[in-house]
Amino acid sequence: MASLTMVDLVGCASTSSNASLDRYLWRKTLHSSVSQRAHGVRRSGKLVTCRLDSARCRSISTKSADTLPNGTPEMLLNVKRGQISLGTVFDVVADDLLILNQNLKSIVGAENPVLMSAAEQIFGAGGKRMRPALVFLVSRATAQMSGLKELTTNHRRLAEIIEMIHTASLIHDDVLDESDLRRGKETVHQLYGTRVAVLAGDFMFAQSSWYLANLENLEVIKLISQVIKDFASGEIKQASSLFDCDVKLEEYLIKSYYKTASLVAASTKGSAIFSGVDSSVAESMFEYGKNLGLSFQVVDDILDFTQSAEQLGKPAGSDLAKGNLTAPVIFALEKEPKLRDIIESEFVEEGSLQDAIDLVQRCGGIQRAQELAKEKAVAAIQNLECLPRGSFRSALEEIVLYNLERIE
Amino acid sequence: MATLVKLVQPPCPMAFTHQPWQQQQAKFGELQRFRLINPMKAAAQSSSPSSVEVSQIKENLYQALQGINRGIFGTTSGKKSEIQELLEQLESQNPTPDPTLNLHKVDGCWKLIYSTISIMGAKRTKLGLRDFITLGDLFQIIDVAESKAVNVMKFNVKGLNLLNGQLAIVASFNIDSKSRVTITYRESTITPDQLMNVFQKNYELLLSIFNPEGWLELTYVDDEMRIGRDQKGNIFVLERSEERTDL
Repeated sequence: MASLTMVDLVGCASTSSNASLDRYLWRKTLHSSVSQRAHGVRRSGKLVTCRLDSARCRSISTKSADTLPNGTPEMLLNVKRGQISLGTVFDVVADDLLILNQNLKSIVGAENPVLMSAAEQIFGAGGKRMRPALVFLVSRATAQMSGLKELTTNHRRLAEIIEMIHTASLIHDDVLDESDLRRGKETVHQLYGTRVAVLAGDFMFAQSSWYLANLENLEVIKLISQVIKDFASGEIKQASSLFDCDVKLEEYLIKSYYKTASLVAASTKGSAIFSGVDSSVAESMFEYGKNLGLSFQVVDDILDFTQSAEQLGKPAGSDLAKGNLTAPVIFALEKEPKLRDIIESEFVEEGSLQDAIDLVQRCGGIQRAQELAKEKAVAAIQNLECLPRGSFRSALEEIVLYNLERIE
Repeated sequence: MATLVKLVQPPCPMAFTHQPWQQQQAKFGELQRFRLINPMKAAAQSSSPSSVEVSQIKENLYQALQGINRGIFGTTSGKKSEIQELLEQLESQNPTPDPTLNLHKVDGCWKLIYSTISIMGAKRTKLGLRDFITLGDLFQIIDVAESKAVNVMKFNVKGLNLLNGQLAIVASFNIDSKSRVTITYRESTITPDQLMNVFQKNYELLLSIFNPEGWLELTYVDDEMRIGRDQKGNIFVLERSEERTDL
């Protein structure tokens, strides 16, 4: 059901990245395979025009389409179904990811058979490996700039460290949330008990700290250590503002940064550091990671409202039920004071949670959250401008779009 | 000093009609359920035709109060209405329409069993009453001799060595009418110090929830139970308590 969205990303401020995006997407259209429901190799596009100046923006996109060999503007506007598959996006770093998987299993499993099974469980199927993929993509894209021929061991280690930290946080999150399922499989604590889950998470945090120290790069050590600190800060921030209807969007973004974007930003910046590029490029990579991470979190928060229980693997609106007020709710609260009363009552009345969810949708809370996700996505793509054009930069752009597709 | 509950009530005013002794005996049996039975008082009360009704309403009330933690952390509107109705039924059978002329009846230690005050949403989160701190019993000790009322809120902090403590709010009261008093806040203390540290940041919030200031209408008073309605529209239902609360 997802469609490839031609996001008219930058409005009219910077048409260059807009045009390059269109050209890139057309190339993808011509070369990549599509799902059965699409017609031939053409992928559909739905222009989502910016608020600023829709007519002008649309015509700019059309112009760039004109310069391409095989397309007409109409094809951009026809809504035919296609899909960005992360598999194809990560094609360019597929080998790197394979090596990563093997290394991870041996690092975690070596100590203890129970840990090995837990590692199998969590590293087995399901994980998208998005964060390590980002490390590899940014590494390779920035390596081109500094004349590096091949990825260094530091790059690979960084990717492993990042994935371990991410996984450890997921295992602990599942314990805290008392979740039974993660990615359709039973959670570690469901299978092995809380004790093993806590220890497995601790073990991975500890291992990653040790590997991190051995990278012997102070800037990267500080960067990643900050992330582990931020994880905790994010959880605490969230716990201390449950059911607080006065929470501002700014606070929500800070919390989302701590919980999600911090790790992504550290991954992308760390990769750039190990490639030896300019600090300004490293900063741009940090911003890319941060904006991508925020966009990602906002999309997750939207899906909690819009997806069904089967799709989510847990009841819909579970964030709201717990008192965790996310972007759609924060926007809806600005419009509808009744929502405040329902939230303050902690949904004790039968059916009040569903009433709240309906209210959020009716007040355009979802729409405004979608705009926020797109805003961050636009910023992320802008951050990539310092990178040389090529398959790696394109893949980084596609990850941003893939994320937005989830809410189209 | 907290006044202990007096088990033997002084002779009560003859507000009740007399009934044959046999009938009194039968009714006395029914009242055995409640803890602080004073045979003399029970006999006097059982001479009222509505005392069976009252004990039935009380039974229904205790039934309705099961599992809702005194109503403080959220009850459905259905449950609230149910309890409201039972309380109104009790109030219509109030055996003490002039409690301020019989202050000995309210003197002593009482424990809260239901209230419409609620600690929910952001307030509850800010006070740490979600996972971190548990609200224990709430007591009210009334000292008629000194026209003083002390509200004691017990708290229990998980972790922190299972810290137990309390917030004590001291207030004085003046009689307004035969059933109404006005309460004036005097002072409050949190003990021990570790608990004070925990509530430091949100002390004002805590006080605003439990501050008894304003008038209080005593709408039902008997030997075991008391109902009050305050200026803010809240209802308080308390039962007589034997527990010593060290202040």
